[in-house]
Amino acid sequence: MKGPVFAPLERVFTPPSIPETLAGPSIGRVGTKRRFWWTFALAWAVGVVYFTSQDFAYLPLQRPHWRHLLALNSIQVTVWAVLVLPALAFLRRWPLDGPGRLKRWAAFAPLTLFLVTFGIWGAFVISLGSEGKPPFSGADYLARFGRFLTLYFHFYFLTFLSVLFAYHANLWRHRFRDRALLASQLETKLFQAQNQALRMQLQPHFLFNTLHSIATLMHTDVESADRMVTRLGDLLRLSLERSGEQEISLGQELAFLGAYLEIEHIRFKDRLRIAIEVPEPLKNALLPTFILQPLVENALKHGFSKRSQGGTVAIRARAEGNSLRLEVEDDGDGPPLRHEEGVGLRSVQDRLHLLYGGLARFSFDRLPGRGTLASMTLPLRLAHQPADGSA
Amino acid sequence: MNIRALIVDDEPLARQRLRDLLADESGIEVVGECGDGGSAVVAIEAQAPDLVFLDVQMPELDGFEVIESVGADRMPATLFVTAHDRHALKAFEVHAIDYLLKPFDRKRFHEALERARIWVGRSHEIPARMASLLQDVQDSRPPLERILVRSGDHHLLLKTTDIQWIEAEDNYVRLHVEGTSYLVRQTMGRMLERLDPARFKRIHRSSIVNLDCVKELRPWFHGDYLVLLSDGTKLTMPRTYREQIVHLK
Repeated sequence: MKGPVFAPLERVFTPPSIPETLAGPSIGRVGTKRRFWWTFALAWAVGVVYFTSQDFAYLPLQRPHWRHLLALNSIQVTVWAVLVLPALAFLRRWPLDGPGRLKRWAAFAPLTLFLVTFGIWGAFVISLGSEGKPPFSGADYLARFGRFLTLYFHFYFLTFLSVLFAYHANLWRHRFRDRALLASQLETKLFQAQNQALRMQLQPHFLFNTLHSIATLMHTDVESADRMVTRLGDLLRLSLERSGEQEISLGQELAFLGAYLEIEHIRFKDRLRIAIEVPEPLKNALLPTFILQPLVENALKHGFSKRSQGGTVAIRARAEGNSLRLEVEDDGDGPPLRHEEGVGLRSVQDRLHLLYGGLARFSFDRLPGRGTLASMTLPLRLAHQPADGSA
Repeated sequence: MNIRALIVDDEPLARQRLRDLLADESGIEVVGECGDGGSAVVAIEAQAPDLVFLDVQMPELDGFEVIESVGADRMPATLFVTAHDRHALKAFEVHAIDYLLKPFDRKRFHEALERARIWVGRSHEIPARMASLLQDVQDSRPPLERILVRSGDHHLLLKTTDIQWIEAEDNYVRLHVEGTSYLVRQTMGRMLERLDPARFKRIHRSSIVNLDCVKELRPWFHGDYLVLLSDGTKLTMPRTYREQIVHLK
């Protein structure tokens, strides 16, 4: 067999518990659209009442017409409400934390300054209209606006920012909650995958048949018996050691699958052919722990076990731009999947989706008479140091 | 006279193990080895061995399907060999049928073989036991995926999904497949039990159809139906069988 080379897994690379791809904007949704607009309308109404009451308190002796004040403030607050929307959209699209936050602040600051100045100009125009003054010359207009601006800018700027930061805090709160939920879902899926991987080795049928093969080989081919015992040991150790990590390097995943495949290869002699086509640099690529295992198991079960003349199981990896493409293919003609196997495949898909969102793809095709092809693409990210399994 | 033994196991190493252990036993001659269920059926029929070492889990036809294909009444003494199969083990215990659990050593093998020798001398008792064993394991097993049929002087392994319809013929059933048909020694009731119930429905006392091959259901006389298959075959379905298929409409 031209199988993979096996190396002990002493140092375990630990990736961040949740990859950075999760920090994307799709996670931090603030409730539904509907809820947003209700909150927005409520804030508008509160603003109108608040500022009207301020005017009322400020001008008690003149007994201004309250309807007049209400109308004036409604228009003012509406202008501000319209101006705050682009700033909210900005924050929603580019929150002021996370990678690239300096650039975001650099864009956010002038945007806010411009909006506040624009809003004060709006208030200025309204105040002119309400005073019923005749139009005056350009220079005079500018000077008056300058005074108006210095008078009101600090107050409005602070108010404007408070609204924006309240929104941003709310974004954070939701994102935090979503991520906590996502993390717990991921944990569950990883746990399931581990369980499944353990079950593969500890599957009584696999374990006892392997032991039986070893008993046979001990009388005739001590070298192979030796190899089989060692691989069985590797397999059990790898699956017990590898706990809690969401992602491992492709090299490590291959070390695990290689041990499994080598045992099967000795058991079935020439009937099982294994082709592993993985370029050396890609062995550093990260993928979800044990994600290939159910696919290889399916390939063996359907492409090979059901055919007495044997077959080939191929595991391939290649880089496609910023993506890593992984394929597991067999050339058998097995029966349709049973229900519980379909569940195994769905769990592969679920994990990819939870970890990478829309950036990952998974497909499973049965090619009549030509076997099955399971393939997935996920964002290509390399472990920072060479992983041990890739030796 | 030597006992003529046949070894059936899909793993070459497991066959080798049996061969090695049998070499040290007296009065036993290995007449053949089979790596899959299909060739085992052929070998049992052709060589009529006295004793079969039969692996339970095998590709295509498993151990029980080998017995079904050969016919419980024609099976020689059988020593089942298995790595693990909870349902099968329970059934073996219930019916006091001998089995060997992998891995086994010389001592266990020898003991099992001694018991099997006794059965070789009491072969007339085997059919009833095999039949009740099959009946017992049936519920826990998945539907048949393949079935071994005879065509002239050779055997074919037929995918059950390729069967279009099944017709009763005395103690046989005739499987209709793409313009040809095969006789299998089996009853309609038993055949139906072993097929995927989501795919095969009985529409008449003497016919079962594969729903994938049904093209049209046409009302006929007295509430009966005419079932048109995609290959042009017309079958009648008495109204008493209507419930079988009526929910498909």
